[in-house]
Amino acid sequence: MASAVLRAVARWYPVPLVLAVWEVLSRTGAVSKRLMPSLVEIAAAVGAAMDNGDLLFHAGISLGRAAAGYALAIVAGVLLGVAMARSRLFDALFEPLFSFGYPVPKIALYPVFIFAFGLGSLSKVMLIFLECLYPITVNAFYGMRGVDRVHVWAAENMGATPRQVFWRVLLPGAAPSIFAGLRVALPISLIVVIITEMIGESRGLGYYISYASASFEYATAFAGVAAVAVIGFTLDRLLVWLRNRVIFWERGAAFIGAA
Amino acid sequence: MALLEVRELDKVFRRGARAVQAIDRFSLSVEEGEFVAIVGPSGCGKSTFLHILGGFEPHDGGTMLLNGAPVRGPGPDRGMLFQEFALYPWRSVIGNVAWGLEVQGKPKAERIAAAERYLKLVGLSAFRDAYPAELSGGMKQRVALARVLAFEPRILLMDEPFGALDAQTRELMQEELNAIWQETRNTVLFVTHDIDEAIYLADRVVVFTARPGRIKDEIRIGLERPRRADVRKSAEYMAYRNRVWDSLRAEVLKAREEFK
Repeated sequence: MASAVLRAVARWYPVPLVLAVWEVLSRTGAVSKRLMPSLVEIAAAVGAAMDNGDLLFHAGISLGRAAAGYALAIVAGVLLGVAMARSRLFDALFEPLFSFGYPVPKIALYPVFIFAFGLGSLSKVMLIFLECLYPITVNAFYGMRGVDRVHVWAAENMGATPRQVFWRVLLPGAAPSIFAGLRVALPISLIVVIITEMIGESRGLGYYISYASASFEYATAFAGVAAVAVIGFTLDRLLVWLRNRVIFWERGAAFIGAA
Repeated sequence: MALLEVRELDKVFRRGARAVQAIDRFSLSVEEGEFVAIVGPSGCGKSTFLHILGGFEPHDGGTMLLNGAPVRGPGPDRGMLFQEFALYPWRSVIGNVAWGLEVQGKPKAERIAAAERYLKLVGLSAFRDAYPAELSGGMKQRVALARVLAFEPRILLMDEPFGALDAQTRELMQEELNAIWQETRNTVLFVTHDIDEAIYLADRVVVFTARPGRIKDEIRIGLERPRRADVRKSAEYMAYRNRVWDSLRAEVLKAREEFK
C-alpha cells in the first residue's frame, strides 16, 4: 500500500512540479506573461474554447487528418516491412529508398506536397503518411528478420506449411517490434499535423494555435497546446493498452516452480 | 536395413572465397529403438549434422535414408529437440504441445487428448494452461519434449537439449529422459559435448573428430537397463568414461589449436 503510493509519487511528481514552476515564473513576472500566461488564465481559455466549441472542432479536424495518415502508414508500412523482410526483390527495390530517406526531414517536402495535393487535408495526410511510414516499415522489417530461427525450424519440423509458418510463427514473433514502430510513429503523426496546419490553413489545432499567437491571445494558444498534449497522451495510453492485449505473453510473466 | 542410414555425408561452409569443410564423408547407421549419442569437441560439426538431418540446412554430398526413403527437407518423421527449447511464447503449454498435430490437421479432440497424454508423461499435467514465460528452463525442455513426442516421429533428433540448463537440473533431466525412453523406446540421435550424459543415456557413443567432422570412434555402452542414477558411480561406468575421454581428448586439444 505504502509502496504503491510511493511508486505513484515517483511516477507523477514531474507534473505538479512543472506546473508549479510555470505558475511561479508567470506570477512573479520573471518571464513575460505573454510567453507564460498563468495557469488560471490558460484554464479559463480552455473553458471558453470548450464552451464555444472551437477547441473540439479544431481538435476533431486535426485528429481526423492524423488518424488518416497514420492508418495509411500502418497498412503500407507493415506490408512493406514484411515484404522486404521476406523477399529479396522487395528488399533490393526499397532498401535504398529507406536508407537515404530516413534521415531526411520529410517536412521539408511540404511545399512540393502542397503543389501536388493542394492546400487542403490531402497534402497533410500524405505528409503524415510519409513521415510515419519510415519507423513503421523499419520496425516491421527488423521484427520479421529477428524471429528466432529455431521457432521457424520447429514449425517446419512439425510439418507446418509456409503459410502456417508465416501467420502462426513469423507474424506473432514480429508483433512486439511492429507495435514498437507504431508507438514511435504515433506522436510523429501529431507533430506533422500541427506543423502543417500552421502553414496556410484555416482549420485544425495547428491553425488554432498559430492564429491565437498572432492575435496576442497567448492563453488561447496554450489552450491549443494543452489539447494536443492531452490527445497525444491519451492515444499513446490507448496504444499501449492495445499492445498489452495483443502481445499478452510478454506481460506479467512470473516464475512458477522449478524443474 | 537400419532405420537411419547416413552415407558419405559432406558439408562445406562457404564464406566468400573461403571454404570450410564442416563434415567430411560421415557415415552412420542407427537401428530401430537404438539410442545413439554423438560427442565431439565444440565446432566439430555435430550440431550441423543434426540440422542437415532435420532438413533445415542443405548438404553438399552423400545420402540420408530414413526407413529406406531419402531425407528431403524438414518433416515430422524426424522430431527435433532444440537446445533453445523453441517454444512459442504466445501459446500455452497445451497449445504448444498440441500445435504439431494441429498443423497436421488432426481433429481437436484427438490432438488435445494426445497432448495431455504426453504432458502427463513428462510430468507437467498441472501446467497445461501455463505460458512458457512462467516455466523454468527444465520445465520448458520437458514441454518441448512432449511436443515432439506428441506427433510421433520415427526418430528423435536432440541437439544438446540440456545444454542451456544448470548442472543440477541437467542431471535430473537426464534421469527423466532415461525413464521416459524406457517407456517409449524411441529411436534417438542425441548430440552433446557432455561425456557423462552420452554414456548414461546411450546404447552407443559415437566420437566426432575435430573439424572436419568425421567418425573417430564408436563405443557400445553395455550398462544394464533400466539405468538408475547410481550407475554413474560404478566401476564399469568409469571404465567407459575413461575410454570415451581418451578418444575425445586428442580431438578437443586439436580443436583448441585451431582456434589459437
